[in-house]
Amino acid sequence: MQKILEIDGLKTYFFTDSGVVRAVDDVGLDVQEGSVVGVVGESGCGKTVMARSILNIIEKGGRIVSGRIVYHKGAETVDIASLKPTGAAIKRIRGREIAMIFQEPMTSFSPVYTIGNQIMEMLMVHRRLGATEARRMATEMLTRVGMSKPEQRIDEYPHQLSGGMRQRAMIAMALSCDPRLLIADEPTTALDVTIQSQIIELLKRLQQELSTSIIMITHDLGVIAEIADEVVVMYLGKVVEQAPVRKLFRDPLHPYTSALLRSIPRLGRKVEGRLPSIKGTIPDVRDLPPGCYFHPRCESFIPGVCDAALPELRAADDDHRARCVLVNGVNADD
Amino acid sequence: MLGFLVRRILQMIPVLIAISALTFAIIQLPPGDYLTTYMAELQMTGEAIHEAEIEALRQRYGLDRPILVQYTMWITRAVRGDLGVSFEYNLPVSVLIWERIGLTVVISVLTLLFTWVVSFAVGVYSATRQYSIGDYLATFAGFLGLATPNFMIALILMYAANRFFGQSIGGLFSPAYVDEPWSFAKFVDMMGHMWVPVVVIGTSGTAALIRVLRANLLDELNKPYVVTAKAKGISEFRLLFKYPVRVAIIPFLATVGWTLPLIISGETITSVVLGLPTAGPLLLRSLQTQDMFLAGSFILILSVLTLIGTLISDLLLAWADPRIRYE
Ligand SMILES: Nc1ncnc2c1ncn2[C@@H]1O[C@H](COP(=O)(O)OP(=O)(O)OP(=O)(O)O)[C@@H](O)[C@H]1O
Ligand SMILES: [Mg+2]
Repeated sequence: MQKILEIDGLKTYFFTDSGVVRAVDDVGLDVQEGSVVGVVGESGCGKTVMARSILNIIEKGGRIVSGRIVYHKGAETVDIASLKPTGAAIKRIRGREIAMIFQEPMTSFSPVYTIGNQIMEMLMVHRRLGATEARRMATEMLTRVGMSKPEQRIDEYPHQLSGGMRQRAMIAMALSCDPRLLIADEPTTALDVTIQSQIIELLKRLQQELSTSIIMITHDLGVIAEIADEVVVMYLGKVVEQAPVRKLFRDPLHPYTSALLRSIPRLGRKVEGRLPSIKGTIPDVRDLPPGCYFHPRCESFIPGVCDAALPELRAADDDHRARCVLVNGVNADD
Repeated sequence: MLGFLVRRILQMIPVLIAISALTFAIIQLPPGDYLTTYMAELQMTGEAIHEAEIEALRQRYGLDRPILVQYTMWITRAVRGDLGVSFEYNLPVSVLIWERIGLTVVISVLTLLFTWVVSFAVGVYSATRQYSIGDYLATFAGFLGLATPNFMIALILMYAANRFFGQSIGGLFSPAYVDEPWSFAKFVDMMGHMWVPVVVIGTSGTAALIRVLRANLLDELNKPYVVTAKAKGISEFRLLFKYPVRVAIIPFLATVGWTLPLIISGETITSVVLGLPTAGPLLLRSLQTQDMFLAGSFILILSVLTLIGTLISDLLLAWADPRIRYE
């Protein structure tokens, strides 16, 4: 298999009046051609900022401070992190090579244009299609994502569609130019449960049909279990664990991952009392605890070790790494 | 959209009836009726009163009939274009007002365009370069424009034009054209004078609209659909104007509805200062002299025009915002 995206040492910071927010702080991950990488973590851990860094569409006040985002296209490679955010080079990648779908299907379409208009724009800009041809392809995409009555729906406005239909339209738009990588930023969080699984099924099917790679961002490990090949667990802007999906579920190395796993509701398992949730609250990114960021909430906290220095990402074996002193024994690497 | 249009037009009918009733009530307000006033006029000028003529007028206006009949007769005549006679000028009202109303509408439309063009340019600039020097300058100038009364701006402009360019900028026409019939040359002359009232009257509205556009656009710029559009890889220009700007300028369309009434009611003083042959000053004068047919006709026509303006602005809003259209 071939890598299509390599992120290495990515740091994206926001410079605010109340201090520097290290939203993404030294993140690395690889995406293989045709595979699905899941990114999990609690709210605020930097998933969205990481995703937006890949397209270089970071909000005002933030920028990529260092690191590389290398996109491979055949023999060609581009470092997206080094491109000018408003330049022509990155615009050829956005939408065309790497597309993105978002959490809020309600507000992610402009309310004043039909969904057809917004999907066709993509085809007209990147494929240089005429209106008739673009419309034909947009209808085809809508059919493909399971939209009922696509010929009629194409002329409807976003507010006329249900949340699930809007998310389908969003997927149709993102996949219309046949991108090689799709970044899905919590595509199901805003939907109700039955619709959620339909959308995940749809993404899975399309991913196989089109052999698109996906970065699936979620805070729901259930979604990860269903669709991902590789998993990256993030905590406060850092990668804390990285493994193929089976290994991660069977044999989590980081106490944070274990805690996340314990908090998924399982079908068939009787819930006694409340689901266990991770104790404590997420610290403020502007005021991080010394040592391992997770130690105040960690059940395996070792005083004098965990609060002394931030552990490196350590390899347990060739495809499983975790940022915890417990990996390979407390003092394995020194 | 058609349903919306029909509904909206049907809604106008009761409003129109209410406006005409109110206007009629205003005409009836001064003590005595039209004939007593007319006879008093004649007496004052020492002209003879012909009983036959008085009787004919009494018949014509139905003055000895019930008030409802009088109203019906009046509104029927008004719809046909007979708006009665002005005592003050001794001329049919229709002769007096159409040109003034026409000029008022022209000034309104030009003011609206001026307001739109300037506030669009400045508003978009301010929002996309928030907290830049240009933004601060625009904000400062905007507040100045909002806070200065228009007649002040008029006086300052007139003084400056006179002092520095030796030019008189009052009125809408050069003295040579004032009483001329309409011609192309007169039109050109009018346009040369037009910028003064347009700037004076448009300033505060422009300043207000800049604030509205800037605030709206700043709001829209952070909406998720803008991020979606960015992720599509379209050009910066298209990204800005097709997406956030398109939504942020919707309030512009609402200004169509209130520009005309604003110019009539708010800018009468400005018109007096600038000596504009528009509706405001004549309306003011007709009220002062209790020239009720003249005043009533003005009120009626301007109200109807305002209503039409509101209708146009509602239709434009529905056209621009599908969320309204499909309610
Ligand atoms: N424009 C911004 N200015 C300042 N800080 C920001 C900005 N955007 C994000 N952040 C901060 O960066 C951190 C990461 O935010 P991000 O949106 O990536 O979280 P997330 O993992 O996507 O969370 P969620 O699950 O809620 O979507 C947060 O602490 C957030 O407060
Ligand atoms: Mg997010």
